[in-house]
Amino acid sequence: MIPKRISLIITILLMLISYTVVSQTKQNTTITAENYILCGGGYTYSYGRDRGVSPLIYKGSGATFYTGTYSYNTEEVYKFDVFISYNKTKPNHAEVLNSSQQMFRVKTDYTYLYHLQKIDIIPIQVYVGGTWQTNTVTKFHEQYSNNSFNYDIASDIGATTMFRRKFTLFNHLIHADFQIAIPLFAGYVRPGYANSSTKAVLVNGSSLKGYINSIKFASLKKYRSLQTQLSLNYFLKNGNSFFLGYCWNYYTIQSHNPVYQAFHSIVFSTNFNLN
Amino acid sequence: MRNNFAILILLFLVLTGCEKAFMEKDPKAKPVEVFESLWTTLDKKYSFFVYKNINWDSIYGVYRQKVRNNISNDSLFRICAEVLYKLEDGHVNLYTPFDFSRNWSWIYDYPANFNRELLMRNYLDTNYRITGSLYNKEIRNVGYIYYGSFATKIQDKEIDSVLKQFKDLPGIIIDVRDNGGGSLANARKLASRFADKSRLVGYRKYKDGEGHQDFTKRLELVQAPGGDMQYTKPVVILTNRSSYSATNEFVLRMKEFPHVTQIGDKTGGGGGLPIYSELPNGWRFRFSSTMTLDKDTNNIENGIYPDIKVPMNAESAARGIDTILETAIEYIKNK
Repeated sequence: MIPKRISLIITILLMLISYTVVSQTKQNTTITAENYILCGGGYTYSYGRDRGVSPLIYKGSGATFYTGTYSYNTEEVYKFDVFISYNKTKPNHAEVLNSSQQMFRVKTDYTYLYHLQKIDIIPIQVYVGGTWQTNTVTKFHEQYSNNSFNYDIASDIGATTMFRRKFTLFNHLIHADFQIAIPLFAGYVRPGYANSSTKAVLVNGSSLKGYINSIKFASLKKYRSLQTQLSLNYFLKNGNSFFLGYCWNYYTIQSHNPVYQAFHSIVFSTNFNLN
Repeated sequence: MRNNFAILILLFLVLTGCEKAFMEKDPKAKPVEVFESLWTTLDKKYSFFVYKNINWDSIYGVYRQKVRNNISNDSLFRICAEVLYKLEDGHVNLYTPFDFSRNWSWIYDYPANFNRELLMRNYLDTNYRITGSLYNKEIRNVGYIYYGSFATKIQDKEIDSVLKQFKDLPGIIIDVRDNGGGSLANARKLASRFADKSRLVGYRKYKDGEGHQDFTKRLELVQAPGGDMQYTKPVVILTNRSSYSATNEFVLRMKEFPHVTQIGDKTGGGGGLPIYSELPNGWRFRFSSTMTLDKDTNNIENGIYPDIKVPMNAESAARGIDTILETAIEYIKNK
């Protein structure tokens, strides 16, 4: 659990940022091409099994810091999202021998979407495009020694589609989006053997060259991922906006020690208009 | 408006449990599933089935039929412990809240060859130095260091202090008898202070597939010099069967240096790095998941033979004499 003091500081920071967003004086009611910088955070829940560490499912809550950029015009959307999260996870029966694991995750997504006006399902707009995501997950088991530390780094290029419904609430424009992405090509690095430190065992050595030589280009049989994002973007009169999103990401790497991992994140961010 | 939010809420509810469609559930915490999970994990990950000529399928056939879902936790523990005992490995243990399984035949089937009380009373006496975890004293013009556990951290400044004290003596004895191991980092650090140059000392292979023979290629183990000063005069390491695990690797690393001699009994072994896993009912177990080879590719799982094998003589011990230590002192004096 996040200490109360940190939660309080985060809440105050979010309130201050939100106040800044609301109080900005720019009057912009017609949105044609806009650029935003995002800053927020939220709750995250991890659910997964890393057979390099344990055959059991570990699950638990944590916190996410969320940032990025967001640009759109009438035809295109560009998004760059960064999630940095921490989770403390436990298996069922964790109380028997006090098993727990800490997880750190850094995920970046770059997405390009193009509005296909011809296939709009009125009133829903349909976008298609591509996404490049990189996901780094490290785990540290508090009770293990020689196999306490494990990680995986995966990067993939995939196809994505987004459905957008625009509507107004209290005279404010709202974008309700549902986006789904699947990878087409992927590369990953995953040690064959968990270790006791950050110097996890790579057969090619733990130098930069060793990491590069350890990259495996994966088929969909070896690496599978699915990502969805459900979000509401509430535009203020001054051009800034509030964002509330629910992001779900699942991936699996089928190696000697396969990993199956899902993250649920509920994030709130304030989007500063840069125009 | 209501429809918009209803669709969003519906999507949210559908998505929140999606991964469960792709992921197997944990096995139930029933005795049969616990036993199956133990056997299967070891079948895929234990490293010495072939080296020790263990028929794992046959063991399954014998013990699986003893497991029923209505047996008690005590009975299940005893069955699992018997299965693990068959692996004849000091790195294999089952941890439960009420007991801890082990196979310590690698110690108790052999003479002790160490008497701590005798050492403390007749050699260290009361005027020895305790430098971190290193007990040290000059005994008859020879430096003597006792390191009882590689689990206790040693610092460079502590080793420096001991080596400076002994730098003018003709040799040093490092006694690692009854040292059951600990951290390899400590073993590497201590060995680095006696390294004359970087040397290949052995190889490690990691289990990387589900077959009993599926290992990575051999990865080189190199011992390089470390710290501010190296001691390259004669060094004797004293070992017995309780010199196990990280201590076994310390001996492997030290023996490659031409000025180092091993005296005493064969080490206990433990060349496979143990890793942990757990069972659906929350019990934890550990097992060897690598193998370590010496420079000539001999497996050191069952121990490293000494250069000079000397037993602890019972009659001499009764007179307060540690024959292994005495042999080491004379060996250095005659060098």
